[in-house]
Amino acid sequence: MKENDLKYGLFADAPDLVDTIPALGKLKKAYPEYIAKAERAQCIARKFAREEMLPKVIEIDTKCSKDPRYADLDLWQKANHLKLNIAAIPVKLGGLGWSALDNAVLVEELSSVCLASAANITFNTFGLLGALVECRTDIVLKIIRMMTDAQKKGEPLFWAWAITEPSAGTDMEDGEAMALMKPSTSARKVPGGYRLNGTKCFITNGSLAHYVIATIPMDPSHPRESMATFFVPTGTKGFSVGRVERKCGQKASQTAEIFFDDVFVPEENLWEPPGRGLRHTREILSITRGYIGLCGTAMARGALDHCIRFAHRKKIRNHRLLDEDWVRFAISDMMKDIMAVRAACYNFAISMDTYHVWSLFEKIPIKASLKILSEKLILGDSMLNLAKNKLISLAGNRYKGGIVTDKLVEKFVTEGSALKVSGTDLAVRVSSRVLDIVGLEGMAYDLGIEKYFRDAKVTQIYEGSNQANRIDLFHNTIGSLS
Amino acid sequence: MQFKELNDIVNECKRFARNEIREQVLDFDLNPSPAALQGIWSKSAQLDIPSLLLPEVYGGAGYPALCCALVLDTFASECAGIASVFAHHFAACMPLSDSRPDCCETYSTSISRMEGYGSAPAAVIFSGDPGDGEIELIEKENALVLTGITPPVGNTDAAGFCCIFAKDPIQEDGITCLFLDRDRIENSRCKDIHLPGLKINPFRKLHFQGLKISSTDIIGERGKSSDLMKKTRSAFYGFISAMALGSARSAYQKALTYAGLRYQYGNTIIHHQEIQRMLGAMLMKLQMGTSGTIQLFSEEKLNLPFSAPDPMLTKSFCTDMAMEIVIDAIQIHGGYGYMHEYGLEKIMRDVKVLQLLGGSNPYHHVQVIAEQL
Ligand SMILES: Cc1cc2nc3c(=O)[nH]c(=O)nc-3n(C[C@H](O)[C@H](O)[C@H](O)COP(=O)(O)OP(=O)(O)OC[C@H]3O[C@@H](n4cnc5c(N)ncnc54)[C@H](O)[C@@H]3O)c2cc1C
Repeated sequence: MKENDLKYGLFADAPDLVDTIPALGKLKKAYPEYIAKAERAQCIARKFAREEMLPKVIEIDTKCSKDPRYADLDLWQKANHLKLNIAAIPVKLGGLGWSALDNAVLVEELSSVCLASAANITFNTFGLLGALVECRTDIVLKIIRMMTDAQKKGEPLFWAWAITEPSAGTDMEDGEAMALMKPSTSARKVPGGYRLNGTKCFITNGSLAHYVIATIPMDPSHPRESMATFFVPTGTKGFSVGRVERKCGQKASQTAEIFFDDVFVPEENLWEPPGRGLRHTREILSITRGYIGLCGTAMARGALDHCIRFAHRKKIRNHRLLDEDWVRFAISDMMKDIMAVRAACYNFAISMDTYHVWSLFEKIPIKASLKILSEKLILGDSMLNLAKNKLISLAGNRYKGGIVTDKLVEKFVTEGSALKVSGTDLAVRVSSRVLDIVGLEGMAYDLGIEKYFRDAKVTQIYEGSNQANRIDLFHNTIGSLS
Repeated sequence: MQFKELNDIVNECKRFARNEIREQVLDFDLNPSPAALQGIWSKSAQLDIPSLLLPEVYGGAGYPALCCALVLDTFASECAGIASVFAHHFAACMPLSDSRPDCCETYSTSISRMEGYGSAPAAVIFSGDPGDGEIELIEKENALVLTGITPPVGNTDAAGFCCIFAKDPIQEDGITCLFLDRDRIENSRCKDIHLPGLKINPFRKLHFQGLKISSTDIIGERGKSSDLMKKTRSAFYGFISAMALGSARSAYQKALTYAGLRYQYGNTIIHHQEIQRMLGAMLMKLQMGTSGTIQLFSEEKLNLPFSAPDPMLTKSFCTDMAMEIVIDAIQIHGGYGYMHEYGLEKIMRDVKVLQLLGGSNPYHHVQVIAEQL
């Protein structure tokens, strides 16, 4: 058998979404276009991952090992050309109109090859996510316009989401902890806006970002009650980048320290008022945690994929390593976990389309406006000016608030946390276990198998440590019963 | 050997590791240099470490393998890569005391005097490591030649000499032990495979394509060294266990210290029960691994059922538990644990290589039962 006949994971023929998650067959009958679109997304994403990413990721990892500030923009440009970095924006406005399910497919295929390069492409939606969470018409239109303009011009546009501080990681993501934290950042009111001070650390894309969404308290002695969310162009005076971290893995995605030295933020860039900052964070987490779970599952799939191919090539005692019984049992064992968690992650993505921010695109007022109005008009200056009107701007926010309620956000934090822990623990377990199969020889750097293991560990740490996720899971379910 | 004497040596080694290794560990990882390694090696000779195992009559210290294991543990708690250089060397020296007196004398003397091929660490190769290539002696045109590709082995770059256990068809299951000096393996080196850990010690395969072997290369009798290989390999497994313990202990200590300093939820995280549970589980594994490894090397074996640990299983247990410990130690450090400068992620990469050194752990489990059949 030729190696390319081993059609597992990345090397299977796309689309195989319904084939590998058979329950989607029922959805396909009821909503054929919904599933057909996801299948098209899978074809595009798998092709990109296999043909563009796979041949390059080791070379990129090597360069970033030498210099953590090395940024590969080549892959990014290719993804930009396909609009993969703005996939969630409606077609009418210049994006691909990809649903949460379509985006899940994208995240899975890309992460199965390289978590870091996948992050560079897909975390770009952070800007859009932040805006959607706000759902103030002026913010949403502004951000979408920035993203689509940059895409057309092929100009990199990076966003960073700055929550973690040197002395507070978990403390910034949980209300109970936040109440007790000692912040290293603070904001104060000045005429026309705010001044920000302090340090944030471990910020993905902090060194490349054009805009930072930062969560900072107004009153450091009452962090929870005064936590606010600011939108900060990184060109603003007083903003600077510190160290770009040298990490174990996920090297092609930069992680940096950022400093605010009396950075001025105009009133309009206060996204969440004091006391609402944590709510903004929780809503972002309610979306991202499930996807990080999927990243982990995808890395497990990718590592197993490489392992299977190696075990097919490697001859021992006149047969393939793949023919050893213990290897077959180990592979099945890993596969069964991947299958279970993966199905649960897709369940999450579909629920996201059904109930969460993505469901907004299905609501009549939004659907109708997208249908009736032209792109030029929606993203034009006059609409943006109209959208700035306080009443109109807030109407969007209120409307969305009625759909994505606090209760719904916590429901998705719960679901997302369960998947985040399952998927990322799986990533570490599988990426380590496949190395036990391929041995020292299979661990050679050039083969790219050990990279999964180095990359995987970070997924247990960020997006809330897996302990913080477990705390949320209990708190939001059993804990809230009493 | 007296306990006090052993303890003194371990303390000396601890000091040595702290003074000579600690500061440079991260640099060894980023810019592994043969010169830096040679520097440590030469300095270690002042404590007689390279000749620890060798017979006293030839200038060695004549200490037991347990002493080597304890030294490796202390070295690994600073840098497993450096420790692995010594581990390969100690294993390569093991067969000397069972070899022909002239051979033992030549090699032991050169090591204890740090002269010639004895001035650099030695390498050791076992034929037919599970799942990997076999090396074999064959008769070709009236000469005896060595053929085959070895699994990736450590110390091949620095090696002053190489101890090789090769298959020998001269008799069924025959193993012959060879000692070859640096020049003889020069042309057999394949490319550095760049493992994720133990970076100061580059691993390569050696490809022997009919290397001529003379009778002076062979120590002991042809085809009759399988017990010697077993003994040497067992010691090597014990050495790997010791390195895993040292690495894991260091990770545990770092986590314990950090947990006492880091505040989250208004208290140092060591006050959170889940962190206590993680640290407690780490300690449990460390204690069990340590007692198993010590027992492996102890001369007085308890005669109880299931009391004597199997070397391969001890290695498997110790390296697997070390991996679990390091992963949790990183977790306790949160984002900081993932950063190079904290040194923990390096331990994780080192331990991953230790897990696979000498064969893969799940296969060891298969093997230990299959061999009984
Ligand atoms: C590569 C990388 C990229 C990142 N990108 C971003 C980013 O883009 N934006 C951003 O804001 N942050 C980012 N982070 C930071 C990340 O979100 C934090 O590292 C994470 O939230 C954990 O915080 P911490 O590191 O401060 O650990 P801490 O909060 O200090 O936690 C230390 C340990 O204590 C445990 N712990 C804490 N409280 C409890 C408790 N009550 N019970 C049991 N255990 C507890 C934690 O689980 C952890 O194991 C990134 C981190 C990394 C490594």
